[in-house]
Amino acid sequence: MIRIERLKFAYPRGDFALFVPELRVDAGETVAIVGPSGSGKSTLLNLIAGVLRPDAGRIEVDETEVSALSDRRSRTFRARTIGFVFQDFGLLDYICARDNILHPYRICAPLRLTAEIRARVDALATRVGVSQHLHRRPEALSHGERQRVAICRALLPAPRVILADEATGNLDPANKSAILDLLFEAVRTDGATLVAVTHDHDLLPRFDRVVDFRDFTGGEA
Amino acid sequence: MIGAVYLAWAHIQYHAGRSALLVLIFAILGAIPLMTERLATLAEAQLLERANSTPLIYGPPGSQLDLSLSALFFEGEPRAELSMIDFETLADMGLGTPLPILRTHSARGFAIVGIDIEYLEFRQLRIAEGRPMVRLGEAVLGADVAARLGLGPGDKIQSEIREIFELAGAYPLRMTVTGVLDRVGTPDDTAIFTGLRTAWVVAGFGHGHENLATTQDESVVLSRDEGRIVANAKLTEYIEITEENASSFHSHGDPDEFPLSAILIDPNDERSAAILRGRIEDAGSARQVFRPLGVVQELLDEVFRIKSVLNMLVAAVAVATLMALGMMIWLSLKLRRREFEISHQIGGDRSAMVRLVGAELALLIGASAVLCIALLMLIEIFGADLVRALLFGG
Repeated sequence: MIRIERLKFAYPRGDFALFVPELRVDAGETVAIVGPSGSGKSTLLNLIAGVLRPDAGRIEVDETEVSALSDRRSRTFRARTIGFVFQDFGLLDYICARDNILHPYRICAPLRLTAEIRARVDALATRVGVSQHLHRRPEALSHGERQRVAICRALLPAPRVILADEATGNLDPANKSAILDLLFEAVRTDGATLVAVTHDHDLLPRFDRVVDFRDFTGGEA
Repeated sequence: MIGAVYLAWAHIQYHAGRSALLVLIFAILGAIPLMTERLATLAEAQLLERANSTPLIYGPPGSQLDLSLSALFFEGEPRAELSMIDFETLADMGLGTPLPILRTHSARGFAIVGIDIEYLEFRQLRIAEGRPMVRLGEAVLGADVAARLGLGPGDKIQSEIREIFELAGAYPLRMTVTGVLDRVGTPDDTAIFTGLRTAWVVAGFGHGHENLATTQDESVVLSRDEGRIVANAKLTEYIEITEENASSFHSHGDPDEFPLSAILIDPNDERSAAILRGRIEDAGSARQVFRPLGVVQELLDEVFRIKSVLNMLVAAVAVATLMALGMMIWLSLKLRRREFEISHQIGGDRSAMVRLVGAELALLIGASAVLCIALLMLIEIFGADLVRALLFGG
């Protein structure tokens, strides 16, 4: 599903450099990425999603060479294939939960907002337990509820890959476990692949595989 | 695009106070120059119309502007340096219709203007209520005077003395309102019109009191000498002219010397106007006659020169305000940076962000434009009255 070969990346004005000789994640696999802060874990997620372009190397996701896509194709690919979940939830404070879930369909041209999609919002909200909060703005929701809404947004286009960047970082232990349950359920029921950056070592046993970033950072860059 | 407009509208609603402020600022910035331009145009039209409807003004030497303001707009220091001899001289020339004006006093803040009845016809003033002033002590009110003082036919209005010790010996005169004029949107709306004889009484050139020859009260008589009776200060002058005492009103001076403030002249034709002006100018500098249109136009030129400076100041303020708004919008976009990052990460089109911000600005500017148009419509509806009130105090 995800194949990374001899990936090199450095920010133009930073002393940080990322080198990943090889990384493979199979379809339906759940992978946790751990490593010290600033080691490039989030950067790797952005490279996989095509948000960032590598300086060298190759990234292939679902048989698409992401690193070779134009900016426009990269966005289309992201909208259809990737589901992002962020530590700060990334919800817009001026629209309700339902509109936040539908947000990708309002800003991504390839996604069509149909009646079927609207119905799917209700189904997803019920699945993650926020159906009664769809009319509320994020400020009226707890952290756990906000992350559930963010997961709904990520899952709505039925992505092949879910990238979770410290998705449980702002949550209490009970919610951490519950959110992870939801992400794993999505993997099981939708056949998606999960790559999750985390600092929470208690959660690591639940993943199929753990990748330690200390093996990659500062390599040959 | 619908998605961008939807989100933009949601953002505007969420920040309703800030959005309303922006709309108001944009609207005011847009409306002020247009409104002042429109009001200036209306003011110019009204001033010129008044001046244009008055072919010639005859008066004493001095400032033509002061004389125009006094004779046309009943503004400025009241003066009465002409006399009835001037009127008779002009009438004898037979080159046009002289219309005498005497403005020396006021009543409850409105100018009392002594006129011949022909003035009403000349200005096309019609009686809306009641009848014209005919007898001594009667007055007709301009429409705004009547409305603001709540007076109508049958009511009384009393002249005010200008100073505590009036050398002319003018006493307050309580006049009877006999009519109210139609509103015409000129300074005539703000005047109290009387006949010349009444205006002279108001100015102290006529008075009424009990007959000293037949009085039973000898204490009011200072001396009797060969049929000439001199009263002392105890003699009470009438302050209202009634049917009973009207015959006692008289004046002691030469009627030819009774004062006038100005004389409007409606010449028979252009040729008569030219001859009349030539004759007055040939007669020396004791009197002047001129076309008020030119004087008012000069005044307006001055006003518009000042207005152009004000326009520059408004433009400078507008630029500063727009810069402040630009800064505000830039800061707002900085605050929304995370939103745009998220949108980028989840695959949002680059143009979607531009459309989102553009739609919000378009909605705000659109609402401002609507408000601006509404303000301009108000100016269209009420501008003429507003200008009239500002210019003529209506």
